[in-house]
Amino acid sequence: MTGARKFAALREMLAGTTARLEMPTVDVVVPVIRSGDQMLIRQPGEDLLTQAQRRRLRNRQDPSDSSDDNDARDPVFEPQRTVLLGDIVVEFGFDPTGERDLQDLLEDYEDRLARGDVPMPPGVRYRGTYAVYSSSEKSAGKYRTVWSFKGKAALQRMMAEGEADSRQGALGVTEFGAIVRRLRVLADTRPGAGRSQNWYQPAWGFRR
Amino acid sequence: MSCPTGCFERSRDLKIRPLPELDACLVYVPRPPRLLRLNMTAWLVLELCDGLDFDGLVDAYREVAGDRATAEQAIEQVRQGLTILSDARLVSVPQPQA
Repeated sequence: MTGARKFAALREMLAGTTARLEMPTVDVVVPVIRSGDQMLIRQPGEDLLTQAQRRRLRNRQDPSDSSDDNDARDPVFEPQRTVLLGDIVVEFGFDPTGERDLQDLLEDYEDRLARGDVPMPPGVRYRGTYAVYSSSEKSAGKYRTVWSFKGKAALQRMMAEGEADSRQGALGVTEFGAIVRRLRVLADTRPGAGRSQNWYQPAWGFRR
Repeated sequence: MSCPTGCFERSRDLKIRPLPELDACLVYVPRPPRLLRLNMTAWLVLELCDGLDFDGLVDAYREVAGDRATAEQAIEQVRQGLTILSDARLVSVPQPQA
């Protein structure tokens, strides 16, 4: 008796295949923590740039609406033609819990955010929500919301906006915080729903 | 290559869960805590490590594998399986005989 009778599930799997058995493999499973309705804070990476190069890089970036930025590393800023969205760009992919609710939110708030009617934390800029009409990533969500940040302090301020604060309005959050929360709630967190987060920094001088 | 000698035992407290849709299983190792994925072949060798010596393992392996492995393949797969399973500390390695 080999003891093989004890592992019925394995025997059943083997019975389902007529192919030659492969060489044995053991792989460590790396857990992937999905963020749920939370934005994971990631510290930006280092760069290899000199001060002069950083100045050139900043002049490639859209200055956003904010004049206050605790992460400003160079007081000299001469906006020229810009190609980069910011120091940090975050792209959230999601499937909405309701298409109609998402459309209503965007109809009501997107132009107000764009015009600056809704006060936003310094250094934070909403870059729009996009429908994905073609992608090689099938599980990254049907929509993407893009934010840009002038440095990690702006990132922290964005996080703080989403938290309840009794000093704020009736809901304990600012109007901007309420919009951010609403966007989070609209992202479907059920198993199988598309979801992704991508964090970007300007590639020039980026050190991995 | 010489064959390992002695009897092979699975480590204690392993939690094995089949993943039939992936032709694999997950093994939880409590100390140190790790989650491992074994393909069917590694899983079979692990399950057979129940006090058998190398020759006994090969015989048992061939009995289960049937036509899906030749005698030579069975020996090599069991040998390779024992190596990676012991590296992952899923089976205890018998001490070489003098």
